[in-house]
Amino acid sequence: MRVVALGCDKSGYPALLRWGEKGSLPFDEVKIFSLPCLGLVTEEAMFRILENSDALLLAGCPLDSCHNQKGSQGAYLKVQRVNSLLQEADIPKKVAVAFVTSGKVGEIEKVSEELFGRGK
Amino acid sequence: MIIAERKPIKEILSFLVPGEKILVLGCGTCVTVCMSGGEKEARELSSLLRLKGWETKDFTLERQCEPEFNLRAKEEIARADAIISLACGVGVQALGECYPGKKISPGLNTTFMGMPKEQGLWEERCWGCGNCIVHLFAYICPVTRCAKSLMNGPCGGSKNGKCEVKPDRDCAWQLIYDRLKKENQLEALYAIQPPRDWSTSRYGGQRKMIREDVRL
Amino acid sequence: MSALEEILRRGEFAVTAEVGPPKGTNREIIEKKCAGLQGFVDAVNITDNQTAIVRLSSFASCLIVKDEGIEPVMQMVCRDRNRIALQSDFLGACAWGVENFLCLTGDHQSMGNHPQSKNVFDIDSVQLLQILKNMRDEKIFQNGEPLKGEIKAFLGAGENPFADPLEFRVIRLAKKISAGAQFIQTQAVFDLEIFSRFMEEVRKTGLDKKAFILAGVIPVKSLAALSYMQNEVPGLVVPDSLVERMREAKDPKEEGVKICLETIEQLKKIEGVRGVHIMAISWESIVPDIVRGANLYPRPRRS
Repeated sequence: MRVVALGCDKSGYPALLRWGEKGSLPFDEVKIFSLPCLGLVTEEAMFRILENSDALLLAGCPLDSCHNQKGSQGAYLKVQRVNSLLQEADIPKKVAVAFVTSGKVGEIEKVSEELFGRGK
Repeated sequence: MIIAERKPIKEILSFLVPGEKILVLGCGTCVTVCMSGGEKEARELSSLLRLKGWETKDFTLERQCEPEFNLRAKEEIARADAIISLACGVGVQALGECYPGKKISPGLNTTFMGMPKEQGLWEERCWGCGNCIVHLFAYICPVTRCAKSLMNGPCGGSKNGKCEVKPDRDCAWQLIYDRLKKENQLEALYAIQPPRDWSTSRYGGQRKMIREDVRL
Repeated sequence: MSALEEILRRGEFAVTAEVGPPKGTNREIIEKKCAGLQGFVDAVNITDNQTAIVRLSSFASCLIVKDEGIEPVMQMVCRDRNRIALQSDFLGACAWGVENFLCLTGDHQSMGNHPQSKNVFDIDSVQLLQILKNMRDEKIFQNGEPLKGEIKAFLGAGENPFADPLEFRVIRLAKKISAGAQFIQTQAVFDLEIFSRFMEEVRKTGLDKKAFILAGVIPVKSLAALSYMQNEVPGLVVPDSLVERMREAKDPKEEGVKICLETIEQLKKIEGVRGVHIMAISWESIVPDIVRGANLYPRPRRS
């Protein structure tokens, strides 16, 4: 399974890096990228990423303490919409979003397990 | 503006044949504003169809309801085997008139003429009856907003300001009454509204507007 | 003049009941219901595809009722027919000697058993009253063209004193009366307080002198039926105290009749109420007991 992970540089990206460093991830390939805020990831971008990967994992600030206020909330709604469209079209791919503070990888592990379970 | 909503993905998929080259054609006017058929939605659908194995392109016209604009997608349309139009019913038909013989499928269901009420909520406001009388009813159209198009007051099914037909809809007559009362204009409702002339409405058959002064 | 009109004009307290036609062609069902009502009511309302459920037509049922020697009140709703069909049926009914008409808007088709159908609502009940009145008095159709022949029609309308906006109800009643309503049958009264207030407003505006107002009553069989009316029927107000009474009743049917009789007793005392309209929906057989119990039997004979 090929996973693309996007994290905001405030919280998500540092957490994704730590998660990546732990090694032995149950995926064939994980690509981690940073961006300023999850709010920037459009639905269209999510679909585009899924055209070349099996799953997309987003990691960003907690909903109530997003550095850009509504970025995480916007990402959450978009992820739900993209997933419902994928489901409607019977496409076995998935997008997940984890809300983390920079040090914590637990939430990412939880969400990635969920992804992995459904992915393969 | 015209409000439309995306057809279920499964229905859109049912229009397509494996192997076809698809063009998803967005429309940059009303359906862009109501977030169902603009550039963004065209790109999403195009990408989604690629995920389902089709070769797709997307293109968004300023307006599909006008032939001049439709001609701007001539080359993209020529290269595609099938078009999914994300315009309202007017746009899809205009496209069909411009490109006879081309397979064109509607990607949206056109629902009504209305307006955005709040983020993510659109409401119907006009029926296009061809004989506007909203000034008599505190700018709340009873033809459109009363489920029975009543002209002389509410039916017996109005309760707590809601319509018996759809309890999440306001009773138009409650709205009319409240507003006229607030403005001390209740007498406006005492007069009996005579039967309406519906011939200006859709019941007179397809409608046309001719302006001799601007015809070439 | 219809018997109902004559009785009302004489100042007698009128009694009407309601018969819902069957979902089929079995005319014996109507005949049986009529036989049970014979002598206990002044006229019988025939509903017009009530609650938007398809039934034997109001027009045809009225003819059956007439055959049985009872005077029908033909209900006409605006949901299914446009002004062409409504005027045509009115002429037809007049030609067959139907003399009482109740003009209603009609329940929305989404409430009924063909919710996918298209509705008409070409005109509303106020406009229908006006059209029928002009056909009778001015001998003209809605379009102004003349019509021929005699029309004897006693025109009525419904009114719901319990629907919102409450303050609008009297205005609407005034419109119906000025459009041509000579008698009014109200939605069923359970809440006498609201109804009394409504009647007070009606008297203030003198409407009780311009039309005969018959108050609606429904004898209730069970707690479930009353709760349903309280919670599910828009435009019906049922006080909690009545629901409590039904809940505690040993014999709910008996209690339902008792409540109905008490209501009629109160209604008789309200100035401007000129009769009762008993809507014993699928319990027509109880009507004689109610009429007797309310001391409204025997019914006056027409002169």
